[in-house]
Amino acid sequence: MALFPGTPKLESRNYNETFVPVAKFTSIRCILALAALEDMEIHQMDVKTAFFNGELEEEIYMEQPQGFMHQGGEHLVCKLQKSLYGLKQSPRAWNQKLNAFLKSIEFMKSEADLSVYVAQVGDVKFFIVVYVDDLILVCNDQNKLLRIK
Amino acid sequence: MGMEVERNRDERLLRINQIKYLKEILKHFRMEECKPIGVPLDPKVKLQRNANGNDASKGFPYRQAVVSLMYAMLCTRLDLAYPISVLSQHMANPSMEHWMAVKRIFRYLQGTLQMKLHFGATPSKEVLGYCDADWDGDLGDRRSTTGFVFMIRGGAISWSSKRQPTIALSTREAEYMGTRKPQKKPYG
Repeated sequence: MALFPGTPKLESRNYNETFVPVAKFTSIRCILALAALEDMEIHQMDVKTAFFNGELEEEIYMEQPQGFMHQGGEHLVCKLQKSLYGLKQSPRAWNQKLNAFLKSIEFMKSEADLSVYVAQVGDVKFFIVVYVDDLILVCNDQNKLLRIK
Repeated sequence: MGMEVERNRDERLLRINQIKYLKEILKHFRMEECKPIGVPLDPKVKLQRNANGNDASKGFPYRQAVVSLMYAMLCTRLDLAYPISVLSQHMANPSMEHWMAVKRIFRYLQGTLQMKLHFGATPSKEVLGYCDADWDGDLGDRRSTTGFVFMIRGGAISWSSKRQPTIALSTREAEYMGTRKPQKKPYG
């Protein structure tokens, strides 16, 4: 349980995991080179308000935001349903959510770089490089790319 | 991430540049109107440890400048790998000489702003790697330096320039030790 904001966050008690993989520059360059060679489509997208989408692993409470106090219930606190910007575990919560989504649509995570995802169905090759909330999508089939987007 | 990608699909070319980022850092360190120069490090000057104790980072943003240049080096500018590796050895105690070397890199960038990573010069799909080592290059502790680069289709994808961790007793030993690191790199 944690109170946000206000209390200092002690690691053992308030959160456990904050590690997030970030794409290596080498993998970005490598995939761009491949895309140029095979004449694949390259799209770049950033996910708006990405961190609001993450599911939290811990219970976190915050003080009521100013101006939105509950009448007669000023002593109450809010329990967070989703992650917020500014939380230590937000980037990870977002990454986990994205990871689960990509796995559900049959993407494989690269073992050499944990932020690269690959899918291949027949002749259609698909790469996704994740840089926190920026994604680079590379595919040799434009329709498929747009569908995933 | 401060990188710009351009491509020519008919010829299957792709170029990555960082012109915008480089212009920004030149402006930030008030070097936007400096005169360009052709070589990033002065070949006549051997940078050594700051012995007289005057810390140049008190008057000049030495660390900030090196870190800004390092980011450019990691993204697209492999030509800066060696100068940055030398300058970052003096992060803790830079002398005026080191600061002049940083300014020289800015002047070099001024002249080479338009340089891009170019993929597509050669048709082959294979990854090509080169490595080399000097011997006894560091005047302070006599360690050697190794550099390597890996390329796909004539464009560099991975590079490094590093001082070797142990002292080599001969050129051959330095070169042999130098080949180990790039051999491990593709798997890690």
